[in-house]
Amino acid sequence: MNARIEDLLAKYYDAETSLAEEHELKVLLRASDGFEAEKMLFGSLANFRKVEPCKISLPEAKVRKLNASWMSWAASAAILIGSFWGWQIYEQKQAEQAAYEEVMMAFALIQTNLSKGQAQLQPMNNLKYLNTTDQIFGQSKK
Amino acid sequence: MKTFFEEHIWPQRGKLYRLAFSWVKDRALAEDVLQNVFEKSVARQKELSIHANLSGWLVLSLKNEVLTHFRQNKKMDTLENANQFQADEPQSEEVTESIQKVMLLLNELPEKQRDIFQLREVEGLDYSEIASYLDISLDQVKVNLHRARKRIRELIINQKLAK
Repeated sequence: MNARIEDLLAKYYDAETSLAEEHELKVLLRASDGFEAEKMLFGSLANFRKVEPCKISLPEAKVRKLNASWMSWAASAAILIGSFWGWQIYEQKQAEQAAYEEVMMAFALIQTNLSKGQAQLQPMNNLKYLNTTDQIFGQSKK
Repeated sequence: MKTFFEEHIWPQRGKLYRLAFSWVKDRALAEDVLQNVFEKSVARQKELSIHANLSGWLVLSLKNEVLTHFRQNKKMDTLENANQFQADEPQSEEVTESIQKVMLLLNELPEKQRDIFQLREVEGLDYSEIASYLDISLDQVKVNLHRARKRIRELIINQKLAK
């Protein structure tokens, strides 16, 4: 066993051992007598691996916190802007409706006047039955 | 559902902590710098999820965090001078005999050899994993590990390790 340890140690110091061979070397050293310096070396290194951080905490991803007073101001502003915008739309609709009604009234007035005009032009329809224009307008008195 | 940080970065805290600890020789400070790196990692999770070498980025960030800390405190300019810092600062009571021996051992090695030796001997990483962690080539890992072990052998022969 010692021969194997010697062989592995030589390879170890030449940095030619694999991880598996280094593991084998440590196991053989534990089971053998002598090689106190190497035992202490590997023992100290193994103990060092047991050192773990105690106070490290898992950091949390920073979430952007919104200021409550700013939130209330923002909400108020949103309500104000929303109300103003809604009121403007309402006003626009009202104006459109009024304009429409005005136009329709104008059309109705035109229609009425047109009907009146047509009624006044009714005598013109009799023109075709007359032979002379005097019958229509009468003779002029001299 | 676990976040990218919880799945890929948080499990590396032990390795990263021990690396930082070996650099700064102070457990509380090592935890502080690691916590800072974790805070930054969480903020950059999206970017890190597509990073080609996450381990390398974490080690480099940790190293930069340590250097920034020391520069701010005007203690040193590189991690090579950490020994000086150790002499100035009182040793933590929590440091056990084994840890002190490892620290003494690591102090005998140059910075790159120290990191490679630690990642191999303490963390049990293979060459390619060490290369990723330190963002260096495989050849550099092999050469520096060889030099580090050669130095360790000299220390053992000279019985410096037992002191």
